[in-house]
Amino acid sequence: MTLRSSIGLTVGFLMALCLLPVSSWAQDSSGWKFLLTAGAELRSEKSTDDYIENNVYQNFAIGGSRGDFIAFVEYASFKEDSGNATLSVDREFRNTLAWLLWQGPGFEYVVPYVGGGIGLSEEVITTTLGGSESKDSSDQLLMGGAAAGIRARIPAIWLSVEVRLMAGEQIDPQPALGALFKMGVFF
Amino acid sequence: MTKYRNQLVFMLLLPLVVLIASACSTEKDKDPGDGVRVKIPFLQSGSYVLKVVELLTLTDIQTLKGSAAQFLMEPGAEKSGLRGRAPHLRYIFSKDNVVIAKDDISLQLLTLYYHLENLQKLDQSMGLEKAVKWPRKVAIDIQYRGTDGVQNNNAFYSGQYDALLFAPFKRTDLPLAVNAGVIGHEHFHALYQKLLIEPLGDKYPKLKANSHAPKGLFQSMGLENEEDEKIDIKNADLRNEYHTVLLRAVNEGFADVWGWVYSGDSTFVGRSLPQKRFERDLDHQILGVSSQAHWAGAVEEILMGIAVDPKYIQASLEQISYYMGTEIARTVKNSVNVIMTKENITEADARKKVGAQLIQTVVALKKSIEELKEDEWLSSSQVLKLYLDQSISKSQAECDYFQKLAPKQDGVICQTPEKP
Repeated sequence: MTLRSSIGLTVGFLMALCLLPVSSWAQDSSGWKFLLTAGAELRSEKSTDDYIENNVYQNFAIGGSRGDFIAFVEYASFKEDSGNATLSVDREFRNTLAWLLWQGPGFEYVVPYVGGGIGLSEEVITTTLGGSESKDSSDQLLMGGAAAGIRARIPAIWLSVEVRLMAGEQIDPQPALGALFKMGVFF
Repeated sequence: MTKYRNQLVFMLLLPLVVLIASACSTEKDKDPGDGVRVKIPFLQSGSYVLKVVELLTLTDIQTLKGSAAQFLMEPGAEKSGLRGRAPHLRYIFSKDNVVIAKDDISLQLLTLYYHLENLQKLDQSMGLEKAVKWPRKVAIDIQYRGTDGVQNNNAFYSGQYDALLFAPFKRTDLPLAVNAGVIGHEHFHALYQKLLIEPLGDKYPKLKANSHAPKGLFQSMGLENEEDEKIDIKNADLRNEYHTVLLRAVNEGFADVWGWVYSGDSTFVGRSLPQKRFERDLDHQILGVSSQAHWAGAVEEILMGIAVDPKYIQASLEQISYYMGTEIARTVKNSVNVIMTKENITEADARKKVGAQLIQTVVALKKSIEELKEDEWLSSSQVLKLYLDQSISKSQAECDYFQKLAPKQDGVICQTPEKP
């Protein structure tokens, strides 16, 4: 899949997602709240000896909520290095996804939510041999995910934990199970 | 009601997001077809650089399956053979469709595959296509405990399992698994095993058992009935022990030369193990080859060392093999300068000539050992004579070079070619 078709599909799908809850937004009397979060995302990946290992991704998101819906753009990245002083491989994975969450009626202290996201991922590999660096990057490839979690019912504060299933051309295993702990603020 | 209907539809659509992304993630080029381009460390003009090369025999990139190599991760030894998990190569396709390893182990695996593919071609070019079994078994990250604790930074060939074994590399130098010369060296042990050690049968049993692999290796990999290599000091036969040392020396020495023949790198050991540079690099000038009496004396001295802990006797004998082997290797390698000057050929052509001569020498050596009488002793000079005898264009200069280095007491190793 080319970059152009990936972007086209992403935009189209996001538009469809956005149109879907318009009616419920329209019924909600409350206004927009902006949301800013940061978190740690645990994502399973296959190792060279064919085991599943968990890597911790940095996760940042910016968006807004209105009524039962929360929409945000999320950036996640992970860096790892291996090798020695003569031959090393540094890897950076990053993805940008647009997410839409729906939160249920909830309980006294917690609010459950589910949602899905779609976007693009890219991987950059820097191989260093005897001090000379060689940098290679993948194409921007389509990636998506589904999430279910709970957040604490605290005014102006976002504190949540969720489980995720991520899929995409650069995701291995497919889909990859993950978890996200994040905190942030509404304003 | 409308609100909940919309939310229901939304929730049903969620799995679709994942499904669409999964569907779009096609198995891109996992079937390599005509070949796959990979970026690996490559020796070029005396230095290792990253270069794009092509792998032609891979059938599955993800598990690195192909006709050249079969990799075993976390290997364990069983009576029926070595067992291990297939690797799961971690890689990306770069924008110009080159496979780029995501971690050092994946990079080492790709590099090993490339070299084994080339060594397969080298074997074929020398008529050795059926000498060893392909794909070669390669065990990665073997864990074993030697007398000095967990052993790292080493590569071995196991005759017992006909496999190349790589221990974790913890040094800051070039990893052994990407060192072309080291891979060539270990591959030669497999050729020697099939061309000489196995055909000799039980004549030199210590050669056959775990040739080159260290004692205790297979025990620590889970094999219980490791073949016992203990020396019965009282009944040790000096002549037998000496010839075992000599044949190990030829194995090590010729393997070093083969590493250079394949890679063009005469300092390949020192690139990964700098402390071995003086002992093993091939470019050092050699002033003479030690005599049979000298080496036999050294072996006898070790065997006589009753006061020494017997477990060190085997290690000492192996160490002598390396010293003797390096003498042979440097003598052969440095003869190339004579060949290049006299025959006006390139180093690449000279290496091919040396490679062919080495193989013919191994075959001839097997015959010599088989025909050796009970009271005869073979010397390293005689091994060099066998090597020289395989030269189809032996020149006066080449002859003089070898004769000058050989000890007089071991006799003439090269008759001056008759002038036309």
